[in-house]
Amino acid sequence: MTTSAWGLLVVLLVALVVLGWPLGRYIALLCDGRLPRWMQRVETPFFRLAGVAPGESMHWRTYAFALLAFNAIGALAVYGLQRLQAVLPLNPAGMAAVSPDSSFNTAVSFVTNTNWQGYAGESTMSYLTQMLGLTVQNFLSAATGIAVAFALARGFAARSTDGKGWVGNFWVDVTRITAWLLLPLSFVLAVFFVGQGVIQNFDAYKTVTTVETLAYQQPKNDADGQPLKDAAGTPVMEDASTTTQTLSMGPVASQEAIKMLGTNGGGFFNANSAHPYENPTALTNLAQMLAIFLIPTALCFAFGRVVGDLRQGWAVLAAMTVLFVAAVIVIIPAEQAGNPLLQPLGVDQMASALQAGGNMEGKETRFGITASALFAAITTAASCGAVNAMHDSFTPLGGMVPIVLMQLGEVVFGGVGSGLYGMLIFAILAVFIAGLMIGRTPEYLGKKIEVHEMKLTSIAILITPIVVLAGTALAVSLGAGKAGIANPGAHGFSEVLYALTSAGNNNGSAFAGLSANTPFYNALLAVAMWVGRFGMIVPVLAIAGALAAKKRLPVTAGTMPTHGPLFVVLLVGTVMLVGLLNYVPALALGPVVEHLMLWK
Amino acid sequence: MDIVWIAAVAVLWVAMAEMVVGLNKLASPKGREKTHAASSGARP
Repeated sequence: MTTSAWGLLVVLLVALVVLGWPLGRYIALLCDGRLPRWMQRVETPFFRLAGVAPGESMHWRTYAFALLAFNAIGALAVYGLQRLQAVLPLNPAGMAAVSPDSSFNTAVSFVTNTNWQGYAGESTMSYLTQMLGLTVQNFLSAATGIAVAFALARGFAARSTDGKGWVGNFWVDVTRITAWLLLPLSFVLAVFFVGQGVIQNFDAYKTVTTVETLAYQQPKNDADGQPLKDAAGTPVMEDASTTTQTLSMGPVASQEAIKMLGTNGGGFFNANSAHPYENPTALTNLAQMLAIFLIPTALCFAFGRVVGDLRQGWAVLAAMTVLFVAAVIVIIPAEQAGNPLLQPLGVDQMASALQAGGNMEGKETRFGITASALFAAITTAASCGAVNAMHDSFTPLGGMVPIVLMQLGEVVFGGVGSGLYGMLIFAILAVFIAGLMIGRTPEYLGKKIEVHEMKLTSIAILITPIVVLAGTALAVSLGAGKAGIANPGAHGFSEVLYALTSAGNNNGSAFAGLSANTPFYNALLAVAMWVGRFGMIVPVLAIAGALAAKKRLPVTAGTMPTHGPLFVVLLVGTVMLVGLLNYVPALALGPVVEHLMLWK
Repeated sequence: MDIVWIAAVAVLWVAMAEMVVGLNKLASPKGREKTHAASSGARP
């Protein structure tokens, strides 16, 4: 790694702790319901209007049903908006209704905090759909994830002995998280983005004259407007040129802020954070990386406060950081090393004062290797999915890092809320393994981990790998799945594996090259996103309920400490072990084969 | 065509609701007894 890469990494980690610490204190207050009186005065009329009693806690089952109903209604609303956008206002570009299968995929995608996009935003979605459908779900899906983390933290923190297993009130949690955490943070970040040049308007798209004539090739159509093909079935191309370009406009900054803070990742434009209207400067690039990790970091501190032992939060954060730094140490050098096949052709891939060097295919020259590779690691470590470079063009080793980070279960900082509850599930597994080693009943934070909790933990951990691997097998077995693969061989397999990994783990980023906007992939990926999200949330809430119903045991000489370096190593090892056992065979067929072919 | 995709959302919701019901049964005293019996090798 270059000195500047180390410098950027250190700046990022230090800034996260500095910003995350006070935010964690504030989030802990939200979780405990200890709000300032003026906030309570503001929210009380709304709760009264909705018939919600803020003081009433829910059984985990009620909490789960409320969460599922809320998200299903959200999915239907986003679906309806897309289908009706042609007749609704705020559509200056005259966008037609989105196709039914794409609407279904996008609705599920944004509700599950995945933000997988099979469409190009600027040529598909009206401003109303972007704002009222997608941006609103950016807030609500993020709030849902944090609410589940709150419920689990309360399960660990509960000291009551009534055995009822109350985990909080979903409606109160989702309201407070949205109103008092996500909205204020997003407002500040959106204003900062506007100051840096991110656009925020309702203008019609602008047609401008380019500096020079652009010559290009386009498919030739017959009299019926259908693409012409030659005898071999290859599309016939024709030369064309233009002196104009259409610039897409829209309310971008307001969507961009929550896209990062909520680890959603769905771009206003198809190019996502590689687009200069979404991510115009090096400063916005740094701010976006910070924004992705900010709430997941703060949640670790908040967790420590809620359970009454800050060291527990530090331990979880340390485990996340170790895994993240390890990934960065692989991905940046892999991209900086460049492509060995270009070396004999005389291509200069050395870093110098005039160029970033390395593998610059698919990367913005204004960001270079370090800021692109670091962004890729951050966006896939967290379940964000925003991209400022095309992951499909990374070297095989560099491209494998984002896949592995997702396959670890999105627990390396992870999504807002989902990263924390995912890592806590691994912590339960880690203390269980440790308990087996030393022959004691495992305990975590004073709660006995018994057969019931371990069954739920197993379901929570295994559901995503099942979805990812079964989905990948299905896609590469069926004609409809193979039809979408643009690159043959190992790289094509990597593209399919990446798509299912991204969907099942609710990341949303894509290896380009896979034509996924087809009924087959829209349906398959939507199911993967839904089951990957809620199939994990339900057992996590069940664990929260089970833990909340248990007495909290006092710390004794026989209690295994879960705040020291030993536990951090155990936790990191558990995450790695589960991830590698699940996915190594699939990785061997894709990026590993590609890497060996490149360096043979 | 829309009805098919709306029904798909409903099916996904029902699948997760069934999971809630199933895991809640597992958490009940009866469910825990069964779990314990199964893990200890005893006949339920």
